[in-house]
Amino acid sequence: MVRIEPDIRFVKDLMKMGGGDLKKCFQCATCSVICPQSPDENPFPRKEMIWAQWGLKDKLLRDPDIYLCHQCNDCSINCPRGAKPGEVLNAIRNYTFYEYSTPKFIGKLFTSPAYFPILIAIPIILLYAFLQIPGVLLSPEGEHVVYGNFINHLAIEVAGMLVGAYVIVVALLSFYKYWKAVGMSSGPVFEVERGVEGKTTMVSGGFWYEFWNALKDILRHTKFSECAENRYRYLAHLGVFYGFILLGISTLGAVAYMYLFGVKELALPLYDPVKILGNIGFLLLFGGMSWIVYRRLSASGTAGKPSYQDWFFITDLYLVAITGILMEASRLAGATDIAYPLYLVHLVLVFMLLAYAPYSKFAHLMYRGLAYMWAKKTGRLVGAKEASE
Amino acid sequence: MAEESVEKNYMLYICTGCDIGDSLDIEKLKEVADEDFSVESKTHEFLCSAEGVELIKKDIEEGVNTIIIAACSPRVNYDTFNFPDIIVERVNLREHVVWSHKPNDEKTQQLAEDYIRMGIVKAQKMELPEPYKEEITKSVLIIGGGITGLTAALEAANTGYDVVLVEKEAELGGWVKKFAKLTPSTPPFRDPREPDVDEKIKQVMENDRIKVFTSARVESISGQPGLFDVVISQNGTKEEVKIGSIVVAAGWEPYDATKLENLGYGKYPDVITNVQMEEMAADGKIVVPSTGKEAKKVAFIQCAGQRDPEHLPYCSSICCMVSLKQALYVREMNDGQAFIFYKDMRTPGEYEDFYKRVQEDPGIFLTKGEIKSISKTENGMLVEVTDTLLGEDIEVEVDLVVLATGMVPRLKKIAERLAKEEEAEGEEAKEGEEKAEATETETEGEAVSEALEEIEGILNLTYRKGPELPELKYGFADSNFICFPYETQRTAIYAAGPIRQPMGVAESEDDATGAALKAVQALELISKGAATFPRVGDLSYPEFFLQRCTQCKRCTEECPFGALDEDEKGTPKPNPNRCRRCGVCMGACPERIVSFKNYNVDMIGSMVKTIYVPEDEEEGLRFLAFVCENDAYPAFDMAALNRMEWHPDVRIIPVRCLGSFNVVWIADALSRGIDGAILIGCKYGDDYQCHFIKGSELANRRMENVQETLERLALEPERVKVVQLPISEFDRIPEIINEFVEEIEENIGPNPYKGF
Repeated sequence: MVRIEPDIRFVKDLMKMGGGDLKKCFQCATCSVICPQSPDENPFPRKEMIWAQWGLKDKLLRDPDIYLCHQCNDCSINCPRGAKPGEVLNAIRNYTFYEYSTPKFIGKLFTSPAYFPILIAIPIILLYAFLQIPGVLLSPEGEHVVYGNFINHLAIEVAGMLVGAYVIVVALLSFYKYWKAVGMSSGPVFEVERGVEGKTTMVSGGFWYEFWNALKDILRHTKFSECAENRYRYLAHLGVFYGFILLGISTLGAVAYMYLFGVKELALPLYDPVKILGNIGFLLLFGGMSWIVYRRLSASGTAGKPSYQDWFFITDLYLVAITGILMEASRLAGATDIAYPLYLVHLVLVFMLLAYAPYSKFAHLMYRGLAYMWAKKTGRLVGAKEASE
Repeated sequence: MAEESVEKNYMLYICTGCDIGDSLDIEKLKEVADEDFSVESKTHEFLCSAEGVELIKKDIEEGVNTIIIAACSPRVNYDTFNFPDIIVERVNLREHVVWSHKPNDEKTQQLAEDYIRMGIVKAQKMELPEPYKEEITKSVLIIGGGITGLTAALEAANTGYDVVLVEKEAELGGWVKKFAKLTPSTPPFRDPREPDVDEKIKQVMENDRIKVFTSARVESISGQPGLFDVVISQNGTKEEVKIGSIVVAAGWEPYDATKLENLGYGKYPDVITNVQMEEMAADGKIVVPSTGKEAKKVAFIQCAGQRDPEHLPYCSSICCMVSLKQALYVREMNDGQAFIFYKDMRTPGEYEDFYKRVQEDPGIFLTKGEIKSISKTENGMLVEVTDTLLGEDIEVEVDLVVLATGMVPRLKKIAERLAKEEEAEGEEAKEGEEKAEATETETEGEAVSEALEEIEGILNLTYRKGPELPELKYGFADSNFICFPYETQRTAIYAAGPIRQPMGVAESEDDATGAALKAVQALELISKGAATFPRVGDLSYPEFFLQRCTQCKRCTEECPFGALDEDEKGTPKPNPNRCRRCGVCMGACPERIVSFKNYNVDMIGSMVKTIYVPEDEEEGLRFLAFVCENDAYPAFDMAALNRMEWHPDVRIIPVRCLGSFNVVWIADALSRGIDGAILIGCKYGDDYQCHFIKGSELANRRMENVQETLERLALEPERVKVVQLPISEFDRIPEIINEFVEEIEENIGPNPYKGF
């Protein structure tokens, strides 16, 4: 017997964060049947739908199943009531970003477009202050665009390190909160039988073992590939995911050039392996993002209507890619009057992407990763191949 | 009986269209008419054409007054072959002969010839009915001044009839007057509507045609439709009024919630019914009874004492909408939270949109579930629910619990009282014989009947068959027979609203309109001496040759419509306006004293006797199929339309109802050498399809007498069989007929009386 105390505020919040139709559900369970991701026992998203209707905040926020959903929207398309379970789960995920954020008052800034001016003001003010530090802002000369001559590379690296350190600390704290909430050791809000017969023989192998298992699935996008109605999302996400990783590698490569090989001038030629990697990364990222943006705009009925949280992250990431490539282009074209202002814009956008990662939709990476670990451990998440065996 | 002296001039018309001419030897058919009956005949290749009809009309002008049309089924072209004041008999050559049997076959030809003979004999034995007409009162009595009665009164008055409205309370308006808001009844079906009952009351009060009696009841109703004598008592005074037809809108009462102690009713003051909730909302404040504080959290328990064999076994069909509506009260009036626990959410038709709208409210929480317990806590009421959609047993603490109790028809307790009285009468009769011991149960029974005794009747008819409308299961008036709502087993008395079926306000208003129209139609038909549903417009009526009556009371007992009263001796006293012309009395009478001008025992007997029965069994056996006109006969037509074949040795004789089947026809048939008879009628039982309620059941019961007849004749019981055939199962006809024939052909053998 569980005492039920509905939280009407929570219901309203979810409705604002993208789950506007959640009250329409009449519990037919078409969603759970049609979902390619949902396990047989305690399937989602039916149970999440009624929990959401009843405002059972505590249950929902401790339910890792919401991260086993990739919002392929098979459920939303087939829902006879138009309750859009895919979007409701997305709304719950959006709420987790806030719920587990550290500190929570910063998390709050991401819950509503009303706070957007603050979010954009922060990097602008910080950048302005940063540039006031003597020796940071240089005066570039000559026809060639050399970004290192505009802002001191080392200063950027240091600032980047500081932001990175903040992000890591905050993310770890959030990660820990979620870890406790999901109850990796005690089990979540509903019973899960471990190693259900025939499904998997896996036995918990400790944190790193589960981590590795989850990582394999994430790298392969195994579960994501099972989506039926919106398979494009799998491919587009794959592009963005690896594009981002390649860009990350090329950034590390650039840093390595500077500090290990003593390269002073970072304006790498196009045939440089690091540059090649970076440009491929850009193409993947840009292609994937364009596809996502296009589908979200043209087919929001089937692809899912994006919430504010979705748009914030998608737009920022897209603009980072675009300003990045424009910087490269203007450098190659020698357009100094365009290149340097663009660099400032790019820095603001990058800050919003990285420094805000634990609060924005970017955080799904860590929460989903954790949910994957939990699901692997409990046998709730099984790769398509393993399941068919 | 002056009519009978008019000499009959016959003419047989044979249509040769629709495969008839190609499949039969028409000349031989004409010979049969001419040689056996000296009836002249004409053929036409397209008789239902203007030219064909003209041919008939010309003959009529020249003095023909009795015509036999051998063409298609009487169920088609009835408007084409409609000749006023002319005896018309239709012989079904198309469906029952050529479309269902081998063309140009000897047996098919014999079949057609027999049908021609039977048709001519029937026309010979038939007279034009003279309608029973009396000066009637064209006024409508409405019993019940709730939304149903008010609507019925207005509808009847607006069509130009005088209305008498009787309401037992001091004020008109019934339940709806006590309601805060009503379930939406018009698109977009989103928001509860304001009750418009005051407007209706005003219209009724202002209408010159409507006479209203409040604080009144119907003391007694005697007589017959068009001529009812109704005694209305009001504040101790009695008034007698003449009434033509009646609409019963006596409505419903809520199920007695004190029986729901398991849900806390009566035990805790903060457990109330949906009716109490509605009254609170109408008063403008939803409060917790024990504290008087605003109710912030309210739980609605659906199907409280409903769909439960211990209480009401049925669904009242409105409580889901009512609780959804009341959940909105909680939200709007108290800004509270509402929980609805249901067995199934039932919002039929457009009410689904209302359900969707209520669902949208973030403060209304719905789940399927079974109530485990309701108990008192420090802060309120604790509702424990199992089998929920939330995946586990839950408990919710609320301020107020509302039980969605169901609707009980007003007829129910009356029916209980009548049953008790009947039982008591039976016991009294028994007691005379075997001075029964006074047991505990008896005293208990007395206590119950004491409570019941106070229940006043609604109609208080002085009919031999009882004072009230016969009820169906659960005490609802039997008013749904054969897909015709409002119709009851008492002619010109119609039931509307929740007295006949659980329903909401909008449905009751529709119902009232329908019933009012029925009541008005009945007046018009009766004024012409015509029958009401289902033989609408039939001008014949049963005549009783009472000199030969033996007072056996079978007819008065069996008449499904209570048309026959009795004098002290048991002689039937017919009330033609109450009659539906089914002929059940004719089937019941062992003395065969009941007859219609155009349907009687002699007529059918003569038709049976005119059938050619070959002496040589090699020529084939002969069988009769007595077929109910209402469903079985059209089923045969449908089978023929689908070109299904059945055995050609079977002769079909339509009867008004199997209940009008007189056992003597079996004797007529078997003594003539006919080998067997099958009776095909409607389904009977609780979900009967019989158009006259009990006809097919009675026929089945009377077969006991038939078995006696068979025994007397030393014949096998298998020769007579009764079959129930729903109209939708017409495809079973060949199987039913052929199996019956084969059984006799193979296992029983020919009738030994052949040739006698």
